[in-house]
Amino acid sequence: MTRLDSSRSLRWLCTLAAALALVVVLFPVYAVIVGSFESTQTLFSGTFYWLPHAATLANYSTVIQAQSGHVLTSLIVALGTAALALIVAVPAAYALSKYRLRVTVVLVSSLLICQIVPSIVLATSLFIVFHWTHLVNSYPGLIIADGTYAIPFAILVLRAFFFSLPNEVMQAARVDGASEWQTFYRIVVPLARSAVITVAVFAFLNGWGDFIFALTILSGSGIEPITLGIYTYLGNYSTDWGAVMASAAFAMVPAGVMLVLAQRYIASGLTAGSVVG
Amino acid sequence: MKLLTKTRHRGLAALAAAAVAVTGLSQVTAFGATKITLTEEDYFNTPGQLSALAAYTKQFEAAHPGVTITRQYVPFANLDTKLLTQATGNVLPNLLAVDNPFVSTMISTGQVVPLSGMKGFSTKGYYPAVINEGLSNGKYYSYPVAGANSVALIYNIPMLKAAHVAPPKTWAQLVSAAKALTTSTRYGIALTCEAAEDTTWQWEPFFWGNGGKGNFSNIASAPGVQALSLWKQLVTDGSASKACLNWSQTPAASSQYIAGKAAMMVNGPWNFPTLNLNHMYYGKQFGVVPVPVRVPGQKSIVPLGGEDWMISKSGGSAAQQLAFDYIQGMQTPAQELTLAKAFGYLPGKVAVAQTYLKQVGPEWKVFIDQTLYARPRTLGLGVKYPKISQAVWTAIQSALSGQQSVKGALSTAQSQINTILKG
Amino acid sequence: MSYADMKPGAGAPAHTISATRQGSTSHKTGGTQKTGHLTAWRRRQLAGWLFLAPAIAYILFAFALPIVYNVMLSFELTSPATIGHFTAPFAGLANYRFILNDPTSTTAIIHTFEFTAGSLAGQFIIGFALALLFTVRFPGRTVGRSLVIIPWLLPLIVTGVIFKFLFQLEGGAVNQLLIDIGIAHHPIDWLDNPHLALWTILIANIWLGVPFFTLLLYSALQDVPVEVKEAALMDGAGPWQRLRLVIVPIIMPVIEITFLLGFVFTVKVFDLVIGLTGGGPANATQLITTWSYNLSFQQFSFGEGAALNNILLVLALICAPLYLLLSRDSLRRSSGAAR
Repeated sequence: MTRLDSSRSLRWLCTLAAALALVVVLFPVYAVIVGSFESTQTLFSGTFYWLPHAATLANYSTVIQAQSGHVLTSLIVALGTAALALIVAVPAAYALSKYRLRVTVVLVSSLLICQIVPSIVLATSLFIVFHWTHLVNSYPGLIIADGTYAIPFAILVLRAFFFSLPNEVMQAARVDGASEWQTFYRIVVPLARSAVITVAVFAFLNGWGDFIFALTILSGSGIEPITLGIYTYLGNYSTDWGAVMASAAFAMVPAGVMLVLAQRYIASGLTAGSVVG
Repeated sequence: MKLLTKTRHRGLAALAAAAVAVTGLSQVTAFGATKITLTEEDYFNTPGQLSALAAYTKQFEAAHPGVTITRQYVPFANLDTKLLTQATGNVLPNLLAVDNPFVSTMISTGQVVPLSGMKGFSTKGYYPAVINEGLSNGKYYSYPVAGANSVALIYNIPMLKAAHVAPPKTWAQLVSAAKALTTSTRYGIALTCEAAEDTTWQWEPFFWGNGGKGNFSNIASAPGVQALSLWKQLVTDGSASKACLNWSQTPAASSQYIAGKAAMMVNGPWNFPTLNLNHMYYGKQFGVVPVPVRVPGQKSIVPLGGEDWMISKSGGSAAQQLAFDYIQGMQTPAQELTLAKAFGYLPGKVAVAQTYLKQVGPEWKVFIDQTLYARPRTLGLGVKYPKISQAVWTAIQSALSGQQSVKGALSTAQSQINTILKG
Repeated sequence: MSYADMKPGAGAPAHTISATRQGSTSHKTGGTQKTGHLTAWRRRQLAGWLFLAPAIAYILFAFALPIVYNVMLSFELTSPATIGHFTAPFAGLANYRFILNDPTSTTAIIHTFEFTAGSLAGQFIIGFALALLFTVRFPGRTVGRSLVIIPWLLPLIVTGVIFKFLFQLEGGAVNQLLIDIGIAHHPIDWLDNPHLALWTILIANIWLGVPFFTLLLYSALQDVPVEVKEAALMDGAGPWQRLRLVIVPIIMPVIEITFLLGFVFTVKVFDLVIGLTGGGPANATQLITTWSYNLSFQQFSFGEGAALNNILLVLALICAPLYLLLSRDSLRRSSGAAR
């Protein structure tokens, strides 16, 4: 293509640069994994070992005992957030792109603004609002709160996708006698499959990674996601890094799984989020 | 195409069903017809405390068929937040072990019930300072948990011997001892300087023993400046790790000591069972002296520590009564003795404490002597204490981290405290 | 550039389906179209509103209500004694006055600005450099491009905890490395030094935010037509000039929106600070978010916390008009929606 790109040595230089960048990017993750296999004594010794030193599974057995319930909670919350995001966002995005409604501009503007609102602003009040509505300390409460990360984004991304669907698709279905609802869920939703998956993946990761709402809306009694579990560990045994690192390793699993299974959707979601603006 | 639609639809339905199932789960009823579950919340974390509490709970459950007590642990630094959050949400656990400076605040939320008037409640025989922690408007709201405690200087005998250092009595001796005890692999002393109440509590003996006022109104004057300068010097000398800014008193600072990474610590008797578990025994491996004073002749004044059982409104009268039975059962002299020994506390009743003194070892002497004269932290301050304490620990952190000078940090605290005291 | 452009294949089946369906429509409808028009229009309006109903309900409950309540709260005199009630005594502007006179609050506001500016600068420079790097066809670039996303996917609190582990005073990997290679002789108090701690958080935040910039800028660079680059080459422009004068102007809209979203993310940062320093030492790393949490949930001055929250909200919303402006294409399309 160009002289620059055809230069072999430059390409290898780029590989080297990228490799260096990746070392910086991946080292913290590597350190977690090494740390999670270290014994308490090693971690306490004041020396960091670049390779596992006297590796042990003790941290994992501690953490599996203490945190497996929290992992399950996180899974429920993350799936719940994904479900809520889809239930709310898919029809809304469809309506906002394919129906001429007076409220559209107002609603799209408010969704853009909703994306900006910092979670801590919502957390303080949601805590009290949930108190009135008996949602404090409950899965539905936490899922509704976690939806604030995912739903505005989901609607905007899906809406941009629906724009790319030709209107003739829906018209054809209507002419065939399909109701509005049938058109939506028989024709439109299946066509939007990849966008729906993108949105679900993001909502899942939002629900999984949430900490603010777990910290403010939950107050113990059973429901405790892994993020909060790690924080409690940190406050409690500030020196038991092995267990903290093993918990962190657990908390990183979905990110890894998503990277392998849904990388395409993550990349497109990240970009789409900005494109729809 | 049709097939695809269906699977998609089913997927959504499954997710929705999961959400519904979850909704159902969250409303597990706590009180069945015959079975009652009480939740108990505390921040206890030493093996001695945990096993004693578990043993008592087991005994209680055996005596009350159908009753289950579930324990919920909260790290010390999060405890007050958690309690107030729960109070706001009306979701307080039935039984609360509240750090005593926070008892007044809990009473003010209106979410805890007075114990006065409950069948069998009595204040007879307790040290007034201990039982009065839960007194508000003529009603008592709490029983002490396993008694009371305070802090002193705990030191590693072999390390002091090897360095030819005597246990310090004055600040000057503390500074030179800590310096002499510091090596490349250990610090002279482990301080606690995290952003929480235990930092203020550790510093109080230094401040109060040096003429500091109970309400901190002279914190920026000589007593405070001298006391904080001492801590600052320990850190600048390298005798105390700067990492103490992240250390809680127990288990962070205490585990530094136990691991041999610090030769001394300011800490409390609740560590005795843990020390023994780690093969450290009084007189051989560790010794105890009062918190050093600035000049000979001063007397160390320590804060009165401990937790109080409180009962929340949660669960209605049946649960409240049962919760009361749970804590009432701990007030018998025999239980008090067992719990106090396991917790490493001094019993809350005068007579029991006297029996206790005859039974426990010499490591208790310092603690017993000073706990009886310890100063309740909320005395005259009530709900204002937690706010004042935050101003104090912030000043300590500010000076030790080098953000402000000792004087600067304390005068910032002073102005905050003045506002709090006025309000 | 639209969402569909990035997902080749997603748009294609739609076209084919529409084409086949269209063929069968024309003769079927024909006659009924005029009479059924009004009711069909109404039916469609109704359907549209029904499709929107859950979203509207959600926005009202999870966004509007808390924001309104937050404003109310900021004018109330709250205390642990009032937290069980819906409202507390009216406080006038006392909470706002407290915030403006409270040294920690004002430094938290300043820190938030510094932190945001530093993060965006770091993320942009590194992110853009990596994006440019990935446009070169070098061995391993596909793998590299996919792995580089990892920091963005981790829960923020986990990132905070990891960096706390790495930057520990004793036994932290960073100090170990610096001492091993001889740059430092004593461990550096990354997290315990009030002047360094915010920098440490900044480093962590740049680490986790770079992937976002890289990915966005990379996909924008992909859209720069090859002819444009070649034209610049023929003009004899050097690499730097080519970048500055040709490429940057083309991808400017994406740079703008990336900065804007980066700003929004950074202003919200909370988990990372809580995990790394908890706002300490001595509140040296309190940002608006963490200090408002401290005021509300640790000191239980919900009123003061709400006042600070509202200041944050106003700061965040300053960029709302900008955001709407940059998204104007997306907004404008709403009026051109299908019948």
